[in-house]
Amino acid sequence: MKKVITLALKLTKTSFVLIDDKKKASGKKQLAFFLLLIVLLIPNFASFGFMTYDMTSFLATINQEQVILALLLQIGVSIIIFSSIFMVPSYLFYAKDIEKLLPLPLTKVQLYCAKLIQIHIYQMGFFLLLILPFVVGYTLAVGFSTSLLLLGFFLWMNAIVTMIATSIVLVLIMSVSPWFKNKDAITLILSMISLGFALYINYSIGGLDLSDPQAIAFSLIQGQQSLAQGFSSFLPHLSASVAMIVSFNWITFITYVVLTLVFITGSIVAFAPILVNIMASFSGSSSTKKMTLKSLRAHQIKPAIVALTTKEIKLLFRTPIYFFNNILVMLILPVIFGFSFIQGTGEEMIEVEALTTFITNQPLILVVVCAGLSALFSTINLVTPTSISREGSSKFHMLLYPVEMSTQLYAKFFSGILVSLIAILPLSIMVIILNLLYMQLGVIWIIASLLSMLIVMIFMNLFGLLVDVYHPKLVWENEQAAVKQNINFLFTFLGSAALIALMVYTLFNLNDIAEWMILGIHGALLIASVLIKRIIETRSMDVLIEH
Amino acid sequence: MIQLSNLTKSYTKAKKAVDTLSLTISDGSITAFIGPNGAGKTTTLKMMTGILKPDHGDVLINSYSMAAQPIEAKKQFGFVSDNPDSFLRLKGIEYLHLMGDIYEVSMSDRLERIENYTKRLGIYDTLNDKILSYSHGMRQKIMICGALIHQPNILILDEPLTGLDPQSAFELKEIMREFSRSGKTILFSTHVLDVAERLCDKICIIHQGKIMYDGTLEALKEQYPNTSLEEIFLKVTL
Ligand SMILES: Nc1ncnc2c1ncn2[C@@H]1O[C@H](COP(=O)(O)OP(=O)(O)O)[C@@H](O)[C@H]1O
Ligand SMILES: [Mg+2]
Repeated sequence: MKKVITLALKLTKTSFVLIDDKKKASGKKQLAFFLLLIVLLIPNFASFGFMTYDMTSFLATINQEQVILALLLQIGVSIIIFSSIFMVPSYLFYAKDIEKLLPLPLTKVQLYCAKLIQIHIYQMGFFLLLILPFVVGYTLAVGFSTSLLLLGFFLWMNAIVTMIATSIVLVLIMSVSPWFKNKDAITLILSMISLGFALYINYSIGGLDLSDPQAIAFSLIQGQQSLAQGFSSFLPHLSASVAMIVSFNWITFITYVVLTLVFITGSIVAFAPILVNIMASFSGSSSTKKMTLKSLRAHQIKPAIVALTTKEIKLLFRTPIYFFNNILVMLILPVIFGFSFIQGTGEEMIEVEALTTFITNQPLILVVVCAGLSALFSTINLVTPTSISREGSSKFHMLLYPVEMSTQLYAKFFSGILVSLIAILPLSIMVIILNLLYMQLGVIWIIASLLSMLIVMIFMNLFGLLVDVYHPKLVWENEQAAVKQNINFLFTFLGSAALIALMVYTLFNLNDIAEWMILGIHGALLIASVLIKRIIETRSMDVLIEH
Repeated sequence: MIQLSNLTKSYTKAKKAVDTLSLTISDGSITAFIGPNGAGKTTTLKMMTGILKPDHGDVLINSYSMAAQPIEAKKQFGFVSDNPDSFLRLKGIEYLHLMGDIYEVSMSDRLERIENYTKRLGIYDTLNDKILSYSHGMRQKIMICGALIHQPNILILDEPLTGLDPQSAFELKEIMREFSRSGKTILFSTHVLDVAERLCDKICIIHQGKIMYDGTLEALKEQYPNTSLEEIFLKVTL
């Protein structure tokens, strides 16, 4: 057992890498990065904490604070399901360390346990981070209670059971058809499932006014809230747990614990052999299509820059991690916006009208909104800020090609533009339609808005590219690390946030000269873009060549 | 022709990975770069191909300077790295067409060469699969085909025979011989001695970033009569 735990800790430590750094100081850098992330998250955490505090205090006045525990349970279970779906397959089947693990003199049960502990540590870290604000808010309002402790215990058991159940389900699916062993296919399916889950939650919460804790509390008590209902319909055992927390009794508790432990040990012993065999049999292979002369010829000659842009786009679409993080976000965002729009019961339409009259009075708002959304959409896809990072150990190919480095970088820039357009093009059309239907602004304002989107898009993509040219993360073992654990997103997000803040400040505080200032900002962006272009043309080879 | 003059590279202050290395590789020869692990072979090949910037010295490839005319210099050779795990989510055929586009090869030349080389190396039937599904050896072969697609005058390979099965190794050696018979130059690195012994006209022994021997195999054997290449190698790199 001790051996297994040591191994699990070792696995946990070696696979946790946020930023790549060949130098010794990386431990400190990682910590600093981690702290920075936490600092950035504090505002969100605080608002969740305060919301919980308000709701609990209010419910306590009518002796209904237990309702919050039910809510906490639901939130906790969602986080657990969500993180299991992502963590179990990637750490159990697709991790690089498996190749090194398999030859070790360990029994299958030990191996499975080591992997489970590794996943569990990650999952608990993630879980505690997210649930903390709610727990703190609750405790501050009504003090610490054994109910809370019980809840924590149930969630902990739940996390272990969910993790094991997920691994078993995956193994069962994989043993049905080898097709499911294809990592790309599984990742894509799981991403879609969790996306559906996220949209469902978003849809359920959408009807609530989050700024009014009392209203939320009321709807919770009445049990009419779609979130609570939705959960108890597909996770029926939750209501049993709630009942147990509310009216505790030792016999049911002990039965619960014993049953859970039996499930855990039973499944580990029963499934470890099948699981380890599947781990060992893993391959990324797909079916073989016969090569024919026709398919050999089914290609057209392209100029290098087109060929390279096509390659970028192909890889973005074909690599599930990239597809999900770089492409799908561009589709999800509008869908989420759309969702909250559709559910409205007419009130939103009134808001739209209010907004349009607002814009009609001060059309500059439209330009700033467009610029802001363009900055957001051009940054959120992370295509250019990870374009060199995604090359990883294959970066040297760029240095081999008899093609100017700037041309190769423009190919990456164009891939970023194309992906940004997935969201920005519909947005432009929407601006035109909204103008025809509601705002009826002069054509000049529409042109200004569209131009502003274009300028911001070009600048943000160039800026992201520049950041990655100077600061690529090239050492990684799975693609996840190239996009998700890449600090470059922080630089570009800060850049775009600063830009948005500057424009909004100008809009609301510099009334008389706001228009000129906004124009000036766009001019500055154009000049900056030209400068970045110069840097790419003159310096990029020197920067990217290995030293 | 490849001319290296005073190439120097150190990754750390303490040690030079390649130390004022000068070497000329003439046209139409097969030259093996031999040396133990960490001798500086990969480092030298990377500087030769423009991947790594030398601290000092320059590389001339068919008299184009890598420092001053990199694009022209890079058109002269094909390079196969020791790490073939690239472009894994492209299909084999897509990778070869990408290389064809990058090196501006006409469609008819391209198709003829793809068919010729992939059939000989036994990967023709898998060209419609993603490189991800290829074994190490197959990945290496597709990279070799990619490097040959523009029929370069010079072919540079880093540890090309590592990981190949005997049949493919034989085919690759045949392709290398044929390549040199048509007056073209091959340079490859290896730490396997008998490959070098059977394949090449010239050998170049490198140790701790310096050249210990540069010349024909016969001359080397005359210098150390009645000694196997292995023993000579051990003596030279002691
Ligand atoms: N990226 C690097 N950073 C630091 N040292 C390196 C790097 N690459 C190679 N070295 C060192 O340079 C020397 C030569 O390495 P290399 O050229 O790869 O040798 P070979 O290919 O002959 O086995 C070795 O001592 C190696 O440790
Ligand atoms: Mg080497």
